[in-house]
Amino acid sequence: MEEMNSRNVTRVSLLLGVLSLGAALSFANPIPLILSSFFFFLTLLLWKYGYLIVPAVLGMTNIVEIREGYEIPPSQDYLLKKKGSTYYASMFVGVRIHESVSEKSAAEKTLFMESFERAISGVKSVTKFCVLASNIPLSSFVDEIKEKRSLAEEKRARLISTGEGHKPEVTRLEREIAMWNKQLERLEGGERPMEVISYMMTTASGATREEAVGKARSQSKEIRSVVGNALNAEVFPLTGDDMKKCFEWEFAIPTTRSELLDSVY
Amino acid sequence: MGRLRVERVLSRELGKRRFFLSPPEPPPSFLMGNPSDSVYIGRTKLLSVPVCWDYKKLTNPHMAVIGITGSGKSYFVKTFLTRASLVWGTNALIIDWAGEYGQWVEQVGGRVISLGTEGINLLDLGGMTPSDRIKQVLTSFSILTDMGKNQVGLRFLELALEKAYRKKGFSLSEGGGTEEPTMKDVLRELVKMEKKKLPSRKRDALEGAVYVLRKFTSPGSDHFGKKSTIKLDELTRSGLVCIDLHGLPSESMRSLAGLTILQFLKEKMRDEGWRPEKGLKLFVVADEAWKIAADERSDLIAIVREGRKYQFGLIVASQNPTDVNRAILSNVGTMVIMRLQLKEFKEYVRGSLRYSAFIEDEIDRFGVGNAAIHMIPYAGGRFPQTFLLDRIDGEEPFISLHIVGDGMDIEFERDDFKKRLVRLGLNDEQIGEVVMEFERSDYKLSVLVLISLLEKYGFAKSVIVLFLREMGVKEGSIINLFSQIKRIKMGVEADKISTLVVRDA
Repeated sequence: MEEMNSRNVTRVSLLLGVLSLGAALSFANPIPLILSSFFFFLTLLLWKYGYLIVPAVLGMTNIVEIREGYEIPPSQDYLLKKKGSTYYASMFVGVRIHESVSEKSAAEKTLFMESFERAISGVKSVTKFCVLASNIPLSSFVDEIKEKRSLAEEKRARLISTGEGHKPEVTRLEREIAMWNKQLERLEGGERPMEVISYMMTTASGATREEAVGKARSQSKEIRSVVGNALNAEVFPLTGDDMKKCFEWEFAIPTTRSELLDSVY
Repeated sequence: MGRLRVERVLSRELGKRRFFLSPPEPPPSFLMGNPSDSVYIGRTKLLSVPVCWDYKKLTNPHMAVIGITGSGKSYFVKTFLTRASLVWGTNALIIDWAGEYGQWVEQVGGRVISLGTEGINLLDLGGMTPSDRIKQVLTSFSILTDMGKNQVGLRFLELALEKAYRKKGFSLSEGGGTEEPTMKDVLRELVKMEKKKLPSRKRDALEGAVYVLRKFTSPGSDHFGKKSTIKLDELTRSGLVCIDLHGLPSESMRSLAGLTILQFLKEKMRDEGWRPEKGLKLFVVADEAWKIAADERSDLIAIVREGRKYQFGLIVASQNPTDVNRAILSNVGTMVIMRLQLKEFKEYVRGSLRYSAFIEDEIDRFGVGNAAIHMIPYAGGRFPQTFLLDRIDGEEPFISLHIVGDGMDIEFERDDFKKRLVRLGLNDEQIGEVVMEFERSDYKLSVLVLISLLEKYGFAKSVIVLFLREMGVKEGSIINLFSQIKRIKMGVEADKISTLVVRDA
């Protein structure tokens, strides 16, 4: 099944807009014209704010995201799989550790390892501990820059059209536009920014969906408390894209260069 | 077919490793922030995360930039101020000791005030009462001259200042007059006092005060003895302003001007008062202002301590961290550490910031434009506060020039190298020619070509040798290079020379 992400929804909206426009031109009827205007407006809205709108709509409408072999509920906080007559629910927990091995002495490293041993000794359910280095999503960061650039361009165009009296302000706006352009160029070039996520995954099974999810939730709470205390680290549930990053490679692996360029320009 | 090697590892060895690890960098949520409400400065070295400086996330907006000459300090400050003015509309007032910001400020549409040609009246009140201003003038003189040790002389100066204000119709506690006196009026009062009969100890002290004042009021040095030609009041809201002090004849004059401007700014800051909304109205930049940055009576310290609540930020840049008072270093929310040469400086900085041996090793290997950043988060946080920046990502392309040959590769930032050529005595045309030679050879110029060019411009061999030494070329290489040039000029192949004697004509 094609993934229901904001990019695909935007494409569908654009297609509907084009079809409605075709219908309006063919039948000389105002309704398809109104529809086409609506879809074009929706396309613009989704293109700009799709990353906010689509997940919110999916959540509100209780749409379950079905991926290969498992499903993710609207709350986007666990994933569920059915094998035979048994349900398996998995939850993910992030561990925020910003201390670095390169900054610690041998004694401090050993001490940390002892804490880690205490942490895993306290865990009484199936748990996977992982460290994932993944790309940082830049889309909202880039959108902010593009928005500022657009505002500056618009203001510059307005000032130029009103006459010669605003030369210093126009020059300042040109500098601002150049600054945003350079920042966008630099984000597009070079190495992709990375982040390191330490996470734990715990899975529970049950005869019914509710039983599996209930067990997984209580396991998740337990490991949050045990590991958080033992490692003296911030432990928090992972949801949405942060959760998907832990098991779906397309959320963690670098996007292609063309996709990156597409997101920047 | 791949192979796996299996080793026996003892658990105590394994125990020294950490499975849950993270490179020593703050989290992206702290570094990246909102790009339209922060100043982008570059990317982290380890994870390439964009670093956007946001004063709202820090304990205060003040900054110290430390690094040897040519490490990229001024480049960083220029980039930072340009972006801060474009993003937040922040004004900046640069107290420019060495005259290295003027050209850039003009290029970006700012205003340059050269104090060699324009003057400031030290006794301008700028909204203060005469008694407050008198205290400030006395502090300036005690910091900058021997009068700190001459308490009786300071008292005479105080009396003369009071008389000068009164004669112009001012009440010491309330103001009221229309036109402030000048230092020439104060000198006149001191000279009048000299004519009175005094015990010899007092007379000596008075003569000391007169001597000091004459230095600041004699023709050619009376930059502070005339009416002000600039309005300090306007400078804090005029965008980018550079007060170029390098035209003043002495270090003490430059320091006096710097202190006077800071005193005025401090009063201005307090006068405008606290505002509930967050913002950043003005950056005060003191670059290489060692005399006023080191003294604890300097108003730089008052700005560091109080600036945040009045929306004033301070940027102090220096080659030598020990020249910056500890009260400044310990209070700044951001510290940018660039290339450092001397061990004592490195130890001083590490002692202040307590970063790891790993960061210290990296600083040892820094080239032009590399930096370690130390930021103190407002909300605290259990993450490393010092991290490495791959390179300052400046507004203008950061161009490194390499001088190569005889096994050496010496790197300079382009503007810094140009400054060295100016100091050597090259004119604009000659500097243009040298830079063009670099551009032709992909910014890597043979040292032989450089020496040939300098010889062509008529520089004596001894001057060129000094210049090469200053750039860090080793003695052995210098002899070798001149031998090669001589050989090339004589048209002799290297393997046919048995003895070559180079003499300085």
